[in-house]
Amino acid sequence: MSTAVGAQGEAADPGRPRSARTWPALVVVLVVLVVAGVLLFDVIAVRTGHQAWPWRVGAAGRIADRGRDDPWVLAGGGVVLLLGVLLLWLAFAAGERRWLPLREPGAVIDRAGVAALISERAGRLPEVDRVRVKVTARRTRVTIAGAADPAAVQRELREELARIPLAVPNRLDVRTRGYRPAPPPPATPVTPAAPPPLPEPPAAGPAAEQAPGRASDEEERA
Amino acid sequence: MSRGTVNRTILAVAGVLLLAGGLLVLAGGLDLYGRVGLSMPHRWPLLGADRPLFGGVARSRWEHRSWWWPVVIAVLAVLVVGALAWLVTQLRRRGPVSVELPSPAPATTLRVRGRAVEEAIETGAVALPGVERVAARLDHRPGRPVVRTAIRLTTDGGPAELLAGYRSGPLADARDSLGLAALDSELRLRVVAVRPTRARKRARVV
Repeated sequence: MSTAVGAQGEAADPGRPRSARTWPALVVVLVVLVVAGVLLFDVIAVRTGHQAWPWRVGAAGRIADRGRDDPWVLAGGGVVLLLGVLLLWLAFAAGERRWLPLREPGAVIDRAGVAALISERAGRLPEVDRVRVKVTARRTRVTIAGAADPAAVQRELREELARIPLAVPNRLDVRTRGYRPAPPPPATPVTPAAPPPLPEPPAAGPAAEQAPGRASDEEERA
Repeated sequence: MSRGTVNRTILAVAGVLLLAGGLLVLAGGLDLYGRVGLSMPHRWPLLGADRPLFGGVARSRWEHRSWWWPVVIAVLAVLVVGALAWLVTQLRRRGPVSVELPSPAPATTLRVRGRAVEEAIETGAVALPGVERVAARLDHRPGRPVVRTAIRLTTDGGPAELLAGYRSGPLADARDSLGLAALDSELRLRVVAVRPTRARKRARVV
């Protein structure tokens, strides 16, 4: 649940939603309930002069009599230790990693949604064949395949990213991957290697004549 | 204390206990104290790798004290009762939410059903550009209502425009019609890509 009011003032994560951790707490509570309930029943039975459950006595004896350097005891200790680390992680990590806070307190957007907006815009740019967008809490990484000029793409996408009012501005990385110009048809003169960087409005779809160059012969960072 | 805080406290306490237990077992069994050169006090638990996990002495140390069994029973009972109380608060169904309206006449109370407010917000929000689905829920924070809305937007719409439109449109309308000075809101925005080949789906309220 997000803490909506005055969230801007918080240190690093303004209004970052925090998971209520209902399911992990339910598991812990059920385990505690069952174990404590069974022990309580048994202890009271013994105290009031009844028999303890034989399996309980047997299990307690078998566990207690094992040596402390017994591999099973050590493995059990290790498992318990890891469980403790896991529960502490669940207790202190914010969770809700799917959501990014927006500038408006209490409003969040899903990371896949940010990726969808960016990749939609990138897909409409000329000379971009394929787009892959990965959005994390602080960084949006766009990998494009195609002949497009990364600087131009970056300009466009930065504008698109700025239209999303994220509370923590996301950094944009545009990478191009594996473009090899298609061999020119024999009759026409050789096309220039670098296409004009002007982005055209949505009319032109992904340029069809560019074969998606898979052989990643260069990787440049814009 | 909010539900999340309670749950996280439970997890933290259980985690610390398990972590400490695991560390003691491992440190005792692998004799880490000896390897690091620490000499632990004599009564330190699980000291000595060659001894049984809980020897007879450890098991019967307090068994014959008069306070031992009452304390064991009390602790177990507190754990059981606490776990049951937690389950009850989690599973308790919230009753229908309603909001009190400023009364037009003395000695009259007017309440509006939460569902009506939710429907009004959904109808208003689904008309905003690019919105595909809306689900609104009215909840109670202590003392005041809060609207939790989930909106699914297509890539045709812009999140900033949507936020502005939502705040000044359906949310402001709801706040004004309820006669509130401020209405808390939480908004979860999802964006789905529009398939270029398919015609745009009609917006609908869920």
